[in-house]
Amino acid sequence: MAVCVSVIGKENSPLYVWVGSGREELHLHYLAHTGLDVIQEKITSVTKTPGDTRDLYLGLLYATEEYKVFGYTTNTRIKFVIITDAANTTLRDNEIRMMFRRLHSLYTNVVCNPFYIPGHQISSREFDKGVAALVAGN
Amino acid sequence: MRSSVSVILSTPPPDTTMSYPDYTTSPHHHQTLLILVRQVGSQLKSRSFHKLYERISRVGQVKVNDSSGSQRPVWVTYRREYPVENNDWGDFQTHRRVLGIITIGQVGSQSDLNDICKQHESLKVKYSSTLYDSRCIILGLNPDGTMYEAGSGGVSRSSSPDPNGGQESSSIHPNVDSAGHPVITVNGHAHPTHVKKVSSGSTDRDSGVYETVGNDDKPIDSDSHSVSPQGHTEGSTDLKIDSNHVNGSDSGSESTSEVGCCEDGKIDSPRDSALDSTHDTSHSSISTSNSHSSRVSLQPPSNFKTRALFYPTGDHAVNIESQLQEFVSSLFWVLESKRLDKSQEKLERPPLLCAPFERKDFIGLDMDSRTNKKRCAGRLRKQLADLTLQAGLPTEAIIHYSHAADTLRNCNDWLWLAACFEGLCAASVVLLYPNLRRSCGLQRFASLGVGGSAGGPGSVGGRGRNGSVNTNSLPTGLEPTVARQSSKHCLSPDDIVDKYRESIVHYSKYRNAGVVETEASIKAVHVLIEQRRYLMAAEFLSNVVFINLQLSDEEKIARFNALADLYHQIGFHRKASFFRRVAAMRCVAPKDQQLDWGQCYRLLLQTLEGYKICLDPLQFQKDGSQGWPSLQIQILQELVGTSRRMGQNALCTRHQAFLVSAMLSHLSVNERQEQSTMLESLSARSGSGPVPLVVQETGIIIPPVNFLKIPICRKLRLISPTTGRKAEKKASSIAEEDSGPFIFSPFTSLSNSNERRSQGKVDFEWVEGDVCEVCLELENPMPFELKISNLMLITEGVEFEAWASTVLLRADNEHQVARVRGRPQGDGELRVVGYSSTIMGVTSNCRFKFMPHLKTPQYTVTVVPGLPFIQILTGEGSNGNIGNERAIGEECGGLQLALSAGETREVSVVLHNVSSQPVEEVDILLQSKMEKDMLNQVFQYSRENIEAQLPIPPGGRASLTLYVYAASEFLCPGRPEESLDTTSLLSGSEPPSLVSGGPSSLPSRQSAATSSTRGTRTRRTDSSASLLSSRSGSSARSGSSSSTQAPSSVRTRTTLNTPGCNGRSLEASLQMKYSGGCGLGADYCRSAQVNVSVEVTPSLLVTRWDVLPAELPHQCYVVLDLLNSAPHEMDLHYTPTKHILIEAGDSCRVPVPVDRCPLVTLSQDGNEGEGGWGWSEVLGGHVASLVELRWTLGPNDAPGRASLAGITFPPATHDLITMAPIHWDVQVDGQDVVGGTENSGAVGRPLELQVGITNTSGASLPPLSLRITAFQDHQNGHLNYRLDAKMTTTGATKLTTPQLGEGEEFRHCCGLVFFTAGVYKVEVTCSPASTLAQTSFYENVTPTQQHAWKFAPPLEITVAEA
Repeated sequence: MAVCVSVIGKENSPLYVWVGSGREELHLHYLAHTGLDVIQEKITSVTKTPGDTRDLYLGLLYATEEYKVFGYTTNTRIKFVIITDAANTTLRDNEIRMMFRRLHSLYTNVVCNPFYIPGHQISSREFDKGVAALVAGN
Repeated sequence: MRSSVSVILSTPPPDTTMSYPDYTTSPHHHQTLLILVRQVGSQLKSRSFHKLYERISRVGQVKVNDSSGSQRPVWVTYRREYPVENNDWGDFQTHRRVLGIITIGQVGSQSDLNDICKQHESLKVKYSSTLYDSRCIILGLNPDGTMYEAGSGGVSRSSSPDPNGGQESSSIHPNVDSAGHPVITVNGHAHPTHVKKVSSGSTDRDSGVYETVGNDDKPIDSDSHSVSPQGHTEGSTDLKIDSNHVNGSDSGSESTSEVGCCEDGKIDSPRDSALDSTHDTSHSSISTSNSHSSRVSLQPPSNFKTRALFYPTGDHAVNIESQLQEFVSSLFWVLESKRLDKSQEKLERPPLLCAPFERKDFIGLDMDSRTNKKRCAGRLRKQLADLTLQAGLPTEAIIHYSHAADTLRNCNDWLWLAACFEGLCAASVVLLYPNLRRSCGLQRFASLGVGGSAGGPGSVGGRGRNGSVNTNSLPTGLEPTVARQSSKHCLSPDDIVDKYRESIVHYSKYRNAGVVETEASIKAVHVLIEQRRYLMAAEFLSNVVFINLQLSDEEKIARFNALADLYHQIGFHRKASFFRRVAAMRCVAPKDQQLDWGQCYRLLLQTLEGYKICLDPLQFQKDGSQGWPSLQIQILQELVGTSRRMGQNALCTRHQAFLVSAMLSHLSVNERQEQSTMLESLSARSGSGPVPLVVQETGIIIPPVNFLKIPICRKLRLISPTTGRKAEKKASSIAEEDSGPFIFSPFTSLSNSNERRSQGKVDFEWVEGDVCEVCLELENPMPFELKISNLMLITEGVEFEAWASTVLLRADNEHQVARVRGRPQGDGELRVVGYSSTIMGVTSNCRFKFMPHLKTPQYTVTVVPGLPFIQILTGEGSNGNIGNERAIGEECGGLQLALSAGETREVSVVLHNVSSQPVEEVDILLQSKMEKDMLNQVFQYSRENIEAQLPIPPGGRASLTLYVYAASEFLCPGRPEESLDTTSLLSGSEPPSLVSGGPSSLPSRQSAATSSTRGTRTRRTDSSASLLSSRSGSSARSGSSSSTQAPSSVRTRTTLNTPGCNGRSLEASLQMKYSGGCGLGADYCRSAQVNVSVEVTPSLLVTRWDVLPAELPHQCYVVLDLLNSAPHEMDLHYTPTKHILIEAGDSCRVPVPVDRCPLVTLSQDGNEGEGGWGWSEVLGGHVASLVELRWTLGPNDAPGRASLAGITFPPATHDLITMAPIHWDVQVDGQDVVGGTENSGAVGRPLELQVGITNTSGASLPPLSLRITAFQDHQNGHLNYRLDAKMTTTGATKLTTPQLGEGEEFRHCCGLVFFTAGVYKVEVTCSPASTLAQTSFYENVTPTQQHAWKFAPPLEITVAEA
């Protein structure tokens, strides 16, 4: 379903990037990277009302001719960016939302690992597997 | 001329779309009048054009009083380029019309002027459809039209030196010219222009155009122009625009401009007038002389019908602002008149206005239909609104716009409806956000001119270029009440955005309106930025991307760039960088024939911010973790590639170095290898030094890249000099520091040392001129062997000669040590702040303070002034020839000698000064664990000798002879020499014969038993002494019984002393502190140390000793048992005359005659001793001073000597050693009796026996009892004292002497009468008078014993029969 899944740290540097095989890796990197602009803008504009439990799902960040870029942010400012094919019209907003939730729980599992240092690159076989299942849509 | 103009007219093909969007557009442009400013002619330098253009563009707003008297702001936009196609859209949006043209040119000759005029005219023709008025600024001419004589080009200057050569500016004073040369005052606009207003209603073109037509009755030809300056024909002027003096009445215009110039000039510099007078004369003289060549006046060509402004240079154009105001207001009046015309006229058949591309759509349509009529009316209304807005009436414009919008919506005229909305938005924006216009950059000085204009800038502070920091924008919903009240129709901020969106939607329906749509989007973005609604702005911007425009590549680059700028303004830096990069890549797209690598590079540099790359590695190190490494690497690689294509090898290397160093942690092992190889190949072309590079054209500075982490320096250690080279503070100055009691406090002591350490202060000194070393622990992060060349230290403070070294680091992660050396060249504080190295062709200066993994930013070491350095050589033996010398010292091992005990060796020690400083001071000190006495005994040298050899010049030598004596304990009484007959000696020590046959006065031991019971032995701690005493005590008991007691103590003794006797080693170190040169002045010195170890092999041992009386009364025999423990035969000289050979291992007994110890020394020294035992030491010392054993030993006949120092004698022997306190003087019949003399007498004849006692002791003697006893020795051990029948005496035989003073003599006479013949002996003894009386003196001498002195041998008298 997704062509790119990326987990981005607090300092806006990537912790984990998965790119679907056969895709232009660098191009998708650029897309995810520029999506950060929108995420940042959305976060700063929303947090003006403190105490408000905002939705972690940020929705469509922007779209290009080929791809759609969706964003999600955790309370600890970890950002998830999922890029899908713009042509894939079967994908509903709700499904994207679900993907993000699953990704979030996968990430939580990674952080629970006492040997993982937050802010470092994620290199976990379990996480790889989880992302692979996620993008496969099952 | 005409034909050429027509050619120009015909050339532009009718294009229906605008050529390209203006990306700098803003909503406020709807309000402005467009003026084209062009540079014409070839002479004008672009710099002076820019200067002028800048001045012009500052006049962005002009206030004009309209006919009703109220003030109206008129805004102006200046453009340097404007495509005619865009001008054609002027009907659609009137702000797109070029209303005025200003050309700027420089003339140097008539042909230049002609050229400029021609170009100006052709420009006018080009924009003739919309143009209202124009101006031509011509530089290089005086206001009167004469050539301006610039200092550089003036012929006059070169021909005749002008005293006022520096005052070119004042030389063109109008007054001078007019006064001095009225003839030459030729007016530049000799042709009065006739301004004819083409009736606005007469043509379909509704734009009023003032055609400047040449006077029909031109009186002037090109050849006769200079004659008639008057030509004062007043052109027909439009009364409505009376302020607009477009009419070019030549002298009129000239005079105004002239006066303006003149007056301004005078006001500006009144000083000039003072100069005028002086200048007048000189100038006039010059000008007269050169009038033919320089005073050429130029004439514009006849068809030039524009008002020209003449200025000598750009700097002289002081009145240009006022000229512009006048120009702008002239434009305004034309515009205003048109607006009024439009608003008043009610046309029966309104003309159909249309956008350029629409024209063909309407061909063949029924123009008379109702919808069409409404359409026409709506469009006209819309245009009226445009004009109203431009004329400075936004509120009215809003009303017109809303009416037009209603009309147009009804007839589904989407394009114009969109334009209408856009205008509506623009008008609202003008009211709501008056400050927005500043963002377009043209209105930097607007606040000066705006004053109290409508919606005035009630705010202070400029709006930043970056939209995210607008201080000034009104929050949504809080628009100024002024604006709110001024127009009920004014749109709310939200409505503005909605309307913009709507208009964009409508525009997007027309393919040809792409440019307009783009511009509308950009305007909307500007508004949204002002409203701080960046997300929505981003939406509008992303829409721009989708607008399909047919653009050239150049335009596409400009478009991406503009998008990037806008994204940047809304704070989307990543997006901005993305588009910037796209633009950059477009520059070098393969399909493009001419690749502009330079531009690509410049654009790429601008993208770095968005990727969080800072080319300063230090900065990047700090916030580098924020970026996206894979993209960072990509962009850096593109930079490298681009700069390489540009041929900027230095830049290329720099970027590659940055890539390797900054992104190292993100590169895989393979990539590290790859990038490093790349770097090496690049740096081979052009190395990278530690200096910033400047990118050409842009002035961007690329900071140097220092490889702070390649290799990683884990630790740095300054190496202390070796002990021999270490500089020390002289002792005197050290003592000062250590004053005070030692009190340890963790707060002061620890914190002090910690502080010192954290500051990198080391606790040793380096010496100027010496090689110093620093140890770096490096780690190689690269997967290959890393070669570091030119590794050297960076220091501050003292001048330091750093030596480069080359290090190869293995490709593993272990710490590897590199040593860097150098030599300080001065004294003072040296700070080691970093190191420089060349790695892979990149030279970097790595400073510790920039290395996060090093805690200490610098290391400080004190460098002391230069000190000499000596090398210590030795040639063993006194004959040490040079060849045998060898170096000694800590490094080379010390001096090692093997000597047999008692042997003396001379060692010559050579101090070789190997430095360049003289040695001026040497201080030699011996240090050892030995006792000081012992030390002085073993080592001896002459301090004076070495001092006499000072100073030692550089390269010189000084030698010192060291005498080494193998001191040893020769007395070893406890040797268990059972083979030796110990008892014999002991028993022999007191043979009965000795008692009888002893020296003349031998003490007899009375109550020896009591002496031993006195318990003195218990006080003795010296085991050897107690042994001796016990032994002598046993001997006193006169028996071999002592041997039963002795061995036990002997055994213990043996174990104690054996190691001392069998080869021990003496160790000492010879410390030499020396100094000289500069270091001496600073109280520093160096020390050299030579360890001397002497291996002592045993040679001679004195195992036992005793004292025997000698033949002579002043002597006694010290009998020694000597053991030769050396492995060689020994030739022993125990007295100067006697010697004996002792085989190795043999023992022998020798008697050594010794002078007895005078009582004086005894009483002097002995008092200090403790009791009687103090005496034994004194006596021992006496004996030791007299006895010296010398020998030669071994194959080399090595000489040796031993003293008996430390020998002690038991009390029993004391009297043998000491001299007697009295001297006997015995005479028989007046004949002296000496030991053994034969005396004879006869029976019955009295013999006179005279006994004299002389006190030879140092003190007075108490009374003594003298006793004379006669006896007969039967020679069988029996003495017969019962001689009553055989003899008698006359006189006293027992008497007490009086007290004898020192040296006093007592004499006593008595007679002896023998009755029978025979051999008689007379014993003369002397003992202290009474036990009571003797205590005082004798207690001191030998308190334990009773003394008696005998005259020995006893007097022997042979009595013969008479």
